[in-house]
Amino acid sequence: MIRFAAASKSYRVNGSTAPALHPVDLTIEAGEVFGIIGHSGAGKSTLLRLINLLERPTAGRVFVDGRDVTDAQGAELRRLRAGIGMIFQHFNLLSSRSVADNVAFPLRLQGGMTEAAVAERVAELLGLVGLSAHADKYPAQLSGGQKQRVGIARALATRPSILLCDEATSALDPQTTASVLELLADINRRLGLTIVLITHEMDVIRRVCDRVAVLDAGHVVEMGSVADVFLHPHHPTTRRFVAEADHREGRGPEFPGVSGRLFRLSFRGDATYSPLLSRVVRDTGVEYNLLSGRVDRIKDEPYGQLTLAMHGERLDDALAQIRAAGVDIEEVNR
Amino acid sequence: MSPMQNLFPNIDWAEIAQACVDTLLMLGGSLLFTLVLGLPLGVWLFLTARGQLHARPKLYAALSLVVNVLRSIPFIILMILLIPLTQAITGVSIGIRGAIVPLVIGAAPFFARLVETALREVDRGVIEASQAMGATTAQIVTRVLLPEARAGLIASTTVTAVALVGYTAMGGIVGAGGLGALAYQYGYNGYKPDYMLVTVALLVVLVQVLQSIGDRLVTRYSRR
Repeated sequence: MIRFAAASKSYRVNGSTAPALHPVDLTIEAGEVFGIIGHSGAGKSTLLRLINLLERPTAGRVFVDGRDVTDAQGAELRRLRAGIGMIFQHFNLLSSRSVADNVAFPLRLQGGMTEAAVAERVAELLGLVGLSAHADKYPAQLSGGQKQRVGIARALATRPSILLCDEATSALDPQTTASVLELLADINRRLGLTIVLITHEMDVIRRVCDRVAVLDAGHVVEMGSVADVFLHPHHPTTRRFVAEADHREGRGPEFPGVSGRLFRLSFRGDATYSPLLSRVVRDTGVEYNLLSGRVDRIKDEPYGQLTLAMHGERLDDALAQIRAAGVDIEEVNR
Repeated sequence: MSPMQNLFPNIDWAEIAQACVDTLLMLGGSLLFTLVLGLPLGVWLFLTARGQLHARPKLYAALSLVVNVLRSIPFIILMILLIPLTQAITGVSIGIRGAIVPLVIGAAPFFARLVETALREVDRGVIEASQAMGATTAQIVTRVLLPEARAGLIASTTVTAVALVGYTAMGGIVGAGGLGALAYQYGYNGYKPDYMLVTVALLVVLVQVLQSIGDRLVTRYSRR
């Protein structure tokens, strides 16, 4: 669907070149929600803009729908862009036009539709994002969440197959963020749209993404399914993002004064809700101490992650039983 | 004698009325051509500036230089310098038609700069969003930049119109007619202070009217 082949970008600053993105090889599949996470300046915004060529790669190629689009110009470039919707952190709506006219804007840019057909499509889109009652308002009269919904309706107007989200929820409060993410997930399911989103919040990734790439200083340092990356982060940057999402920033995994060995147990899917621990404890007589834990969902899949201190004569037996039930165990060094 | 004649003994009101008409004609004509020339020039300046949609730093520097030169010549000198051009275009060097050429050449670069500044106020994100939707540069100018900068453009037009009122009065000195000419001829040279008073008062009223129309339109078209 979208493929980067050694695509890189550097900028010339005062005569010397500063790399913003080191060569990236990445494939985003049709219909998936793909997240790119990184701190500001990590290159995620550049990577996203390579897809609709708001930024041109300095080297390497970009493929969309199997076609090499890297050098697209003129009408070809505009056709490519019409097939890729985009929403923005600051919404970027036209302040001089009503909600309905903002949504109609891309349709009128392309031409070829009667005003009646435009009006019909706009009504349909405003219904989709739940803003039918606000068609005649101006952006300044809307809340942040409503503005982003207008942005989403506008981005979907030309029936694109790809939606790019540039920090789309970063300017919104947590509740509005949740409802906008829900809308994106819903659109992904109902329209089969491929969504590429960039964010600096692991929580956004956890809620809607299927796969994630972690960017650090212009390098893709980790990539995989969200569950894998979230439950077993390897790169220090990824670990920091996951820690932030767990609200345990800065606290190390050491638990002074706790005896026994420390283990992190990761449950996924149905295992999350089965009474595994109590059964193992009964069978083997080991004792455990629950030090920290979280039970939540990654997109639609439940997961749990518990950190336990365990001791007992039959500890190895207990660990084997837990592993046999499909739970992942990592020993935490201290 | 009526009270009016007591207060303003020297004034020929028919002449004042004619001067008002002349001033308004000069103002209207020069404002029209100033907008017609200055708006595209301002858009051109904006587009060719560094980091903009059609960045052409050398072209921008050249345009910028021309605009700055025209803006730095005092209007009264510009009028004299432009007499040959005025004659070539209008066939006359004085009068209302003759005044319009230097008025436009004096005001258009000024207006163009104001247009450039107003366009720079347009949110870059909105321009980027339009590009992402596949808009051409022409579409971005006509459907995004100009409508989004509308309030700023109206304010720029008001400032330019007020500046043109001052220029037309100066034009009066070299025979363009209008209220400025009356003030100079009778009020200054002829030592009739009531003429000076009335013409200046009328100019003040004209400026006030222009400014309040402009302010109202700005308020009406501000959507922020």
